[in-house]
Amino acid sequence: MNGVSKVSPGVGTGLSKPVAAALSIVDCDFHPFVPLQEVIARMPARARRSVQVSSYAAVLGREHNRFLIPTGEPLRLDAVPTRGGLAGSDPAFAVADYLDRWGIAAAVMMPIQAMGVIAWAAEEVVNSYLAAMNDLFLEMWHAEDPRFKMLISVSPHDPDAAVREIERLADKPGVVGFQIPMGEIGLGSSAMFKVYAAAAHFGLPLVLHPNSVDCSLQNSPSCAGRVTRSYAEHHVLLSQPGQGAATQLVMSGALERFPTMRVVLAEFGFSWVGPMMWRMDTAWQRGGGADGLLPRPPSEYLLNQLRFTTQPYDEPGNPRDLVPILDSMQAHRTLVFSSDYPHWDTDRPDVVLRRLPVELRERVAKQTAMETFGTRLGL
Amino acid sequence: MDNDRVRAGVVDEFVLNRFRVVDTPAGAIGVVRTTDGFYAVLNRCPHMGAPVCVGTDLTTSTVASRPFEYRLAHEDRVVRCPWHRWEFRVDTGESIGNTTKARLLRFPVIVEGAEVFVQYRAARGAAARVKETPQ
Repeated sequence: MNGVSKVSPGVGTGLSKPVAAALSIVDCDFHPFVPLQEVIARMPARARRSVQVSSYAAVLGREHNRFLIPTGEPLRLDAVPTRGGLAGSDPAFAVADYLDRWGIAAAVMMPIQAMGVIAWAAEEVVNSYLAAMNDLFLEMWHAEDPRFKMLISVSPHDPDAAVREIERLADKPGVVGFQIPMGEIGLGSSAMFKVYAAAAHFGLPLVLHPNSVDCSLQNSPSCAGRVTRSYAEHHVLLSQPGQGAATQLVMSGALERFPTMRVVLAEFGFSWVGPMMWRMDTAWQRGGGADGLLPRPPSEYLLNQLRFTTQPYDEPGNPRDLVPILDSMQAHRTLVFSSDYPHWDTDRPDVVLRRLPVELRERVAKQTAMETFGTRLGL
Repeated sequence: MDNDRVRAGVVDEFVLNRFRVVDTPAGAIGVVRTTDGFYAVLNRCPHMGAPVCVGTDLTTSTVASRPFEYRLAHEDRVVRCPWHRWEFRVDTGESIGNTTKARLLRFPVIVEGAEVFVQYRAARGAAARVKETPQ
């Protein structure tokens, strides 16, 4: 075979052929970037003056107490676009490097850059920044390839502004849901109900994701256990804000009040879901004021309305240890695939799906996500 | 014609400590030139299948040390995965810091004159490093 080998350039270098293509996957946690200079340029002049660039200019956070990423940057080194720039900043490259390679039928875009606003105090600056960013994601990513699906980022500080942004964009092609950085207002607070009502009106699922209250981008992190000192601590404790969000949404009666609302908890882990559901039901059974809001057991709301993503996939020494855990959360209806591409702690689609019991793979890869996002996915 | 090897390029095309990835019937293999010769490993991290030779040059690791003591090790012989940053020795394929018992799969490299070949049928335990032949 002398002389017939091929040195693979650029995209596709050395990775195996798209073995997962036949699976047709919906990725519920995909992280693209847009150029922030362009976002800022679209903001009103007064608001633009208030935008401060932090040391980590890719996100515009003010993460004074943030744990350090041990690798220096949180992105995959092999996913840097051929023309340079951040991994995840070039739509055409991401199409070839990720969508086409793994048979991704839809990638739900979770814009980490929007999370920085959790620490911004000027509400109008937040609103115009998110609006400009939302527009740019639609123009730059969804327009490049309709498989890139849009989450509308809305203000975590101002429910009225969140409703306005949902109303402005909900009917745009490519929009599949909305996301809100967690922290300012409890998800079970009645202040959020107008946001949930708007989302229910348009049939938009809510997708929640770390990078705000979890000691990432908020000035005074409130993660239990105090400020996480290291990436390792932060990674282990990612379940905390997810548990808080799930508990609030269920036990406050928010899901009872909005029975069509679906919420995807992305990147908080999933192996805690079953036991937490047991505890919710036990507490609910005690009555006597422990919970007066729910006519049915909390587990019913959780199973019907909350979804959890695979990444970061738990990796026990014996993979079979996960089976009873998956059973306990009824993973055939609650677990959806996510990659976290292009982050360095990504999960490879075919590897994760093969680690699941056979009967779950199709459900996790696609079916449950299609039921969650509905016809908006266009699949 | 030798059916168990694939040409990886000519010696001068290799940037020191930077992999060139070649497709072979055994899968994609990264071939790298170091100051003491060539090495080749399968371009697949044993953890999650990441392209372990892409996006990162051979590097140096730190090993366990006492406070205020910084001990570098395996200078320019460390393959660091571009995803979860697991580290392996390019010469033995072993995990650094006992992260895993799994190893990188290694292949012998043959240098004939200016031409570099990788033997893709080589056994896992075969010597992975060869000296460059004098030109």
